[in-house]
Amino acid sequence: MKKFFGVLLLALVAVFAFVSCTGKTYEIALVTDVGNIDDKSFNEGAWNGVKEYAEANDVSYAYYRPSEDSTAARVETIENAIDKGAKIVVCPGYLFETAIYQVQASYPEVAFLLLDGEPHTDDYATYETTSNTHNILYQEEQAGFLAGYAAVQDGYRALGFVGGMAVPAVVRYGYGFVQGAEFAADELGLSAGDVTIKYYYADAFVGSDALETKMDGWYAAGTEVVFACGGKLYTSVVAAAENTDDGKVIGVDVDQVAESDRIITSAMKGLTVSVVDALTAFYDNDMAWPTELAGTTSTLGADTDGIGLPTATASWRFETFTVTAYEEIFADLVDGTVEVSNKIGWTTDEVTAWLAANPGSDEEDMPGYVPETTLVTVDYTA
Amino acid sequence: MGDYIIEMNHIRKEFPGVVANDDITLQLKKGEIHALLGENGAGKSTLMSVLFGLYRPEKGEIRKDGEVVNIQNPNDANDLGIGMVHQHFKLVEVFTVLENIILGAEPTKYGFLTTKETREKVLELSKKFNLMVDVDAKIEDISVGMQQRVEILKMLYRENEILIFDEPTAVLTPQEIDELMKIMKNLIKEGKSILFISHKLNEIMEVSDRVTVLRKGKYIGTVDVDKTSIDQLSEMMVGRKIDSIKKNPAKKTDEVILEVNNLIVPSKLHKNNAVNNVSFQTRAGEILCVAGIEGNGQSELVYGITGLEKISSGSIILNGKDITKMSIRDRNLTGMSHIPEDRHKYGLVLDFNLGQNLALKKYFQEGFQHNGFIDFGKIKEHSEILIDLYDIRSGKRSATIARSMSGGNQQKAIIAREIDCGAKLLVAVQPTRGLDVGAIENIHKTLIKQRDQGKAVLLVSLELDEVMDISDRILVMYNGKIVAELDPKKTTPQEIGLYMVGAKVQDRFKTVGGEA
Amino acid sequence: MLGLKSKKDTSPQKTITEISELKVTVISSVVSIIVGLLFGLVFLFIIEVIKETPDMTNPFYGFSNLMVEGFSSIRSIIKVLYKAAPLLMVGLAVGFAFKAGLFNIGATGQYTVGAFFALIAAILWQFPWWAALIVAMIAGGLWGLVPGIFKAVFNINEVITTIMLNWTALFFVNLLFYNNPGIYESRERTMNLAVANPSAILPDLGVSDSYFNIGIFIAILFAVVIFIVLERTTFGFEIKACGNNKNASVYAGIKAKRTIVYTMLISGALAGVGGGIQYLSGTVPYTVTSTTLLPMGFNGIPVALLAFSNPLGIIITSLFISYLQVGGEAMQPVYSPEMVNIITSVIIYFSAFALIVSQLIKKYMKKRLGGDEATEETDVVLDVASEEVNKISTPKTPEEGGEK
Repeated sequence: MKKFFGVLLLALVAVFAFVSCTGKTYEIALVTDVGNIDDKSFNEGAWNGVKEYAEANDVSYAYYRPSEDSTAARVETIENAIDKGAKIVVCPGYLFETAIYQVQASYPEVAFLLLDGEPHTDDYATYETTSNTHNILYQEEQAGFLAGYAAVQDGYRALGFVGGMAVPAVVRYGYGFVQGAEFAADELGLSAGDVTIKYYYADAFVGSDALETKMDGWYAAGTEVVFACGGKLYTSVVAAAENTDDGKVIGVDVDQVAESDRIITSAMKGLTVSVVDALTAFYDNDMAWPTELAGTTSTLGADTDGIGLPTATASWRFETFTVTAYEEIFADLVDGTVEVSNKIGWTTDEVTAWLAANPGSDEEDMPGYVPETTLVTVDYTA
Repeated sequence: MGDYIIEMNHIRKEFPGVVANDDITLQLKKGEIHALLGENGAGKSTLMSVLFGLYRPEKGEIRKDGEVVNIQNPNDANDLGIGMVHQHFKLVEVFTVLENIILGAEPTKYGFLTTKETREKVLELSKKFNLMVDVDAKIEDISVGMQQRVEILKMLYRENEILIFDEPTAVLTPQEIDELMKIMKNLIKEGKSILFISHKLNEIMEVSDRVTVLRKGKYIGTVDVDKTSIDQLSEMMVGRKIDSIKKNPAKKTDEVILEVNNLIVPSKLHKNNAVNNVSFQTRAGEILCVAGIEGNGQSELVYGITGLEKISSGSIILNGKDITKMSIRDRNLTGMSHIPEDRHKYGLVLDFNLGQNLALKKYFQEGFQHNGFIDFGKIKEHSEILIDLYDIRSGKRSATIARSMSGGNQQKAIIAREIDCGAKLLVAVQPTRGLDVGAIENIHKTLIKQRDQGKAVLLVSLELDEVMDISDRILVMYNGKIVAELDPKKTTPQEIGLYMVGAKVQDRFKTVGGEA
Repeated sequence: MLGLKSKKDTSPQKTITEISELKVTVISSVVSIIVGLLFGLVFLFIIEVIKETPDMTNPFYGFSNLMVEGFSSIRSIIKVLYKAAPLLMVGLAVGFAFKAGLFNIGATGQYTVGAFFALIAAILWQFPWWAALIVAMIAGGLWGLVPGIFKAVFNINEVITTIMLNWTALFFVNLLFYNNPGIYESRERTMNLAVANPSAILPDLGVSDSYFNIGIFIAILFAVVIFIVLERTTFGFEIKACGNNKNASVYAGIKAKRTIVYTMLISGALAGVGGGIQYLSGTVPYTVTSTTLLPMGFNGIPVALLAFSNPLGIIITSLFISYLQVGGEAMQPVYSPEMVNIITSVIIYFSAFALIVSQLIKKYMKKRLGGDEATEETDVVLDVASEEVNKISTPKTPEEGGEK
């Protein structure tokens, strides 16, 4: 009996070992960070780009998900994708920074597209992007600016901002939002204090009961719309909004209007567009990054359709603010008529100046940098 | 042929490697009480399982009123009018008698219970067969004998013609047994036919018309009761003549081994005390027997003495030491052995091998272990000696898994282990339960031998025969109290029965806290 | 006793067909695994058939990847070892408790607590790896001790308490993480150990693969120790006695309550070390925002079942489950990760039917064996049968359904 099972097992292994030699290959691979491709965020936005390009150009494509939330697993999954014939690996999200740093040198014949990050070592000591890698960053401040501008233009006066964590990308969204509100208030000729913004970091990219309770408080205190900026935390904000009669939410990264009818717009990154553009450039250059992309980082803004609000009829939920008005302000961003500052911290000179002006204090006593506003009142301790 | 209501002809049922029923024929005449006699394992259960459609026989046929019938499952059997009173009643304690009777065959109208007509029918049946059952009483409140009558009523209510009584007297007092015999005769008068499964010869002689004897799966014969004798039947059943136990008179000593004073053990089942202020002494060289109907506190008394249950007051003195607050292990080491009531629940770790089971009370002693590591060689050595000494039969000797051993040999293993401890006190609770005649004989001899060696034996038994046969002194327990102390030579089972049901209490036990 | 054939001593031919308990165990585990794998394959075909555009080659590719990946390269083998180490520890935790008759469903909670304290020790207290592991062991043990005490003292079912303590552990740990900001890189993931405290990463013995560390050897060492404890010591004897028959153990003078408490303490400690091994590997950070129980602890259940709780068997079964998981990842992208999870679960759970298979084998062998043992077996069969008569010929009562 034992023999029989032994033989059976051996036969099984032999058959499948043979079969496995002739697996299918997939040229464009997307590796998700931790979530899945339907995360309504980075993975999904990037995946849509991969799909769009691949289907239009009849290239094989597939996505892979790492076995655990670790750099090692992401590296392994990238390698698995390469084993399965990937010529270009799309990696959405900053979590890939260290993983790409590890693999880009080992696989010079494979191209990598890193969204929202730049490869570096674990300890951030060394940043390096090899010629087979291209990074894309986004001008979040412009997206945030448009959201803030549109909200105030549409008549909202009591705004809120909830960031996942005070990481640069989120801060840029937030400060852009503040600048946009200020700009609109100025255009509308509102007086100081007419527009208020409650500003808060939730310290997590997921929803929680605590956050929902806090948002309940905001809406109850009169906040009309909250910019929910960070991964999945919008779930709590939406839940709180839905507890009220007319609380509204602004989404982030991708068009989130389908998530709730309370979401009036989303401060989008052009993930899909930028992935399609990058893939097009890659394939047009005979499957290699063109010189201007090889080993470089693009920072995409309004001028390259890297950011924006969704303008499709189904996604447009403003009442008085029109698409035409949006296109005007967008054009201003593109041609530089309107500039949004991406500053999120003090420069060394400013620190030095402050220390000189405040003898006896050290750097930690210096108040954090916030964008200057005259008309909008921002409560950074909300 | 025509006058047989049920015939099981040439039934053969095999299990892998064993023939459980080998060409067995059982013919039940209409209107007779037919006894089915055999030891445990003789094939009675298998035969009944075949009759109830649980097993398909390899050979043979079943006829009802001369017609061959095909019984596929117990429902078929029920449809043919075959009903059974089980040894362990199948009643819902919190339901009333009536509810239990209609359970499974509830009369309904538009989905609602209609008990009125049923009630009348049950009352009528009860009156007709003189069953005297209070239909509105809850099962938990009525006596065992009454519960059995409820089971009988259940069969009658379902209009069963063939009634099977499986060891019905095992749980009854002598008085209740007499009552049952009357009822059975009454049923016959009303045209029912009865199959009476038993291994108690005197009952069979008293009540049945014919007897079919099985032994080790084989059909031995069917005889008319008036043309046979107890001796003949017992020889048919066992296959040899049975020696009656020869017992030397007890060597009286005054050495008190166990002294129990005012022991109170709370009950786990009800709010009252299971053991209520019991005091007695056991001396070296005697077998003191505690008799009583099941559930009158005997088990709890033993649990209290052996430490398996907490006592609420009283004291226990063993070999002159107060063991009231000792752990079980310390009690054992002070000189107590215990053959437990339920050998599967307490006596053995069934999935351990025989060697480990025999070492269950010794493995921790130096020699069996060194620095916490068990010496399995020593355990084996120890068990091999006991296996030979006590003739424990097991396929792989020490390595035999206890579960695979027969009941008799499991019990032998427990007895071997307990006696091997060399304790001065041996507490034995129903040591012969479920065993065949040979094994029972063996155990009785062993107990008497222990007594003769100067040990004290505290025997708890529900079998009056056993109590009468081997005890030197009898205590009768009723309702948690000792109600009588008797000398087996000067009493009768009937007298013990009266004490067992609480109909009589000896004067000295009428006051609380009497001393035995 | 239904002694048709008289009970004689072992007959010669019996020794030929006689098979040891161990062999039955091994054979039934292997059979279960094969049956499980076949079910997995069948399942692959089923999901292919119900697809809109079936491609019948997919099941073959997928299955072959699943089977081959685990030993396709040194790296894969290392990954199998890496994943097997914590699995082995939780398997031991569950199996050890099983031996004492306890169902420690709380291994995942103990694992979580162990993981947390390992990270606290490594990052906040800057302990070396071995000290952090000891901290994890103590923390997991204490977490296991709680249900042990509840079981022993109040007779509260350990299944209930351990399930509740799983969630308690998860949120307790989340809370503690929130309150210890020093442990974060961002407020979501704990700090990278390579940066925070390289000495807390389990040694890799100079092997450069990021998945390689001595975790698997530590786990195997624990398995061997647990094996010795169970099979050679009086304590192990008492544990097994309690597990097989608590009443008989009490009757024999074993302090069953104390044994239960110790067993849960040790079981929890084993799971705690598992958490330590996983998070001191230096690869994966703890994600604080998690609101779902870590699956690792639950995976210990099939690992233990498949090995019949034998510690040495658990070494093998944890490697097998790990091999399946690693192989499963290679089924991407043809199969989505969710599908892979389903497939590996199907295989694992069908494999865990080892117990049933072993009973079938025993029955089969008894049939062929005949003779003495069959006689004894028949006794049991008859008991069951008569019990069955009782059950069936009377209506089901609530009493039977409820109380027993």
